[in-house]
Amino acid sequence: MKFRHLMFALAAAAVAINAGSAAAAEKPRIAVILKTLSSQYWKVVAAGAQDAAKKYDVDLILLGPPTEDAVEQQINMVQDALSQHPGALVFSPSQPPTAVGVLKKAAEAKVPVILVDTGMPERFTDYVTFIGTDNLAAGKAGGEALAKVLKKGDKVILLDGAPGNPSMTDRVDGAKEVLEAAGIEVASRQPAYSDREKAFTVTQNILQSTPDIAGVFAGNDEEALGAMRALQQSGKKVPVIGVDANDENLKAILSGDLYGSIAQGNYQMGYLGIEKALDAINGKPVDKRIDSGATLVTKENAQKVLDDRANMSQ
Amino acid sequence: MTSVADQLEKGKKGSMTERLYSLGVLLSLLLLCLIMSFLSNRFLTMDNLMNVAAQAAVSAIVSIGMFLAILTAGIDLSVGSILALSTMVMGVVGVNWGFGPYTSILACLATGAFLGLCNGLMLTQLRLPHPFISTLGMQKMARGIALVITAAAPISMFPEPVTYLGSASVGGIPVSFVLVAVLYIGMYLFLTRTTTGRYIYAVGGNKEASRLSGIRVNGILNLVYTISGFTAALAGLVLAGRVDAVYPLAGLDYETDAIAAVIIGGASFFGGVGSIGNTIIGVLLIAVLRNGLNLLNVDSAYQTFAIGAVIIVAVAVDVVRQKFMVAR
Repeated sequence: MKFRHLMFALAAAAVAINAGSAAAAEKPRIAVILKTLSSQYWKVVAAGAQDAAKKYDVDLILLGPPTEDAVEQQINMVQDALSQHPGALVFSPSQPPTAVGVLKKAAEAKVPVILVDTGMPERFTDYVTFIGTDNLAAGKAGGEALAKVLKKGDKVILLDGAPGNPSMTDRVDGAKEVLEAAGIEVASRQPAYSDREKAFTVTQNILQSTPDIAGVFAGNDEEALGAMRALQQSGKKVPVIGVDANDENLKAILSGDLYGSIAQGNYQMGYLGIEKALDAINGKPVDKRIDSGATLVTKENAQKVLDDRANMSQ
Repeated sequence: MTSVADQLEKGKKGSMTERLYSLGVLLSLLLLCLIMSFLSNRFLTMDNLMNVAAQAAVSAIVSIGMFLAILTAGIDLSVGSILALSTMVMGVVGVNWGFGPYTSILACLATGAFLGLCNGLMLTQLRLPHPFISTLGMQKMARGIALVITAAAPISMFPEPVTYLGSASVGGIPVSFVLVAVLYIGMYLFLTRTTTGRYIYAVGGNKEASRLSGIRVNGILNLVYTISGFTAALAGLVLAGRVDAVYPLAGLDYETDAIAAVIIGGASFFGGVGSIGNTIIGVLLIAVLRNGLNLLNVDSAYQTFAIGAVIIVAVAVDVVRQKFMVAR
């Protein structure tokens, strides 16, 4: 029985101590919940948020599940972050429809929500802003880069994502628009499911029917690498462009195997996320949609992007 | 070899060493709570404790079925996939086909129970050598169908009765928490006060002896896996309410958390040993660990590591306990 009393006393002491420390910190507190913290892409988003938090002296809560498909765990993290009463929430929903409930809770608690990378379904509008890539613009940038090195009448392949993946479709639509305007012929547009192996097979098959392919635009970098291998195996050397600027692709760009990649502004997503969260806390107006930008990476600037990244992850 | 009579007796009371272990698990949970409350000023708030309760609910319900499977020296690797498929069926029936909410809830629970029964029949009728195989097959098949059923698209906008269990709270207490309490008390009474319940312990302790003493072993095993499928679907219903959507990747890897909870709760992989009360403590231990580390802003990679370490420590304690029991 004595033991039980001791436990109560300790618990009571804990509450007392914590009550004291709660009043101490008065920095703005911002919670950032990402899809994961365990992939390169998301580490860069996190680095953007951390840098901004340092600059503006923000008390940063930064969480993300081990994988992008741990959906419930991510929702739990949002709850746990909300229970710490942050001034704002910067959030990237892994499965947008599943996040409606917890974001309603955020609204009830008057915590402004800043979405990064991935938006919410149309019926949900209770957020301050959505900061993400304008995929159509990213695709156009890729199309322009290809159009520059190709000539009128050349044939290209467009590799799409899984049917119904809107961001991939937008990218390919953007590239198609620019390429066709430049008089370049789209020989084939096929879904490659954002997957390297599928892109490899699809490209191989297209090369059977249309051997005189002059260029490839792929909706993401995995597909670009798959297409590159298929082209190499049939002894072709034509420009291939992907989206994401993954390290592996940047290295392939440096070695001349790939022509280029469109880098998403994922660092900007994290950095702007914190800036806009502070604006929301201070009652300043924020645009409902912010393009985090997309830049072309080719042999000229690939090394610099790699170096910047190495500095960031330290 | 323990005799059937011993097993039946054990189901009733639990041996001395088991009670010692129970106390140990409970103390570990309290200690963890104590440490967390010192480290984070948010931990011991009503808000947060209710959060933990709601967060633990899905895993707690899945763990009931897993506990029964492990108690019979088996395992159910399909719980996460059954959860996903049952809730996708609910989505299709309720939202896409426009049947009422209660019909869709019924469809969800029936799907879970049916898939569980299939697990049982694969073991008892098809005579697959171990439930590891039958439920692994079911894990892949159910997940495959769940992914194909709406071309991987999530379904949302459920009516209130469907989301009630997972999202409502009464007087600040989540309904899902009340449901968990009712289920665990019910299961405790079933296992300790009914003949069928004690037969489950007996079958887990020694299948052959149980069969020889007239227990319908196959019937018991079918029942156990049916319950496990049912609880997985029920957990899915709670999850669907929590996130107001069903999605084909729901419940991914939930079997590992459930196995961890049951093992931390002291159930033996060799069957026949364990108590449902300790299972809920195992569930809470994992939930508190995750919640506390979230509050402390710790990278989730360390959470995964910590849960792994807890499993190893818990089983190491179990091994020592086994030795102690043999030595007695």
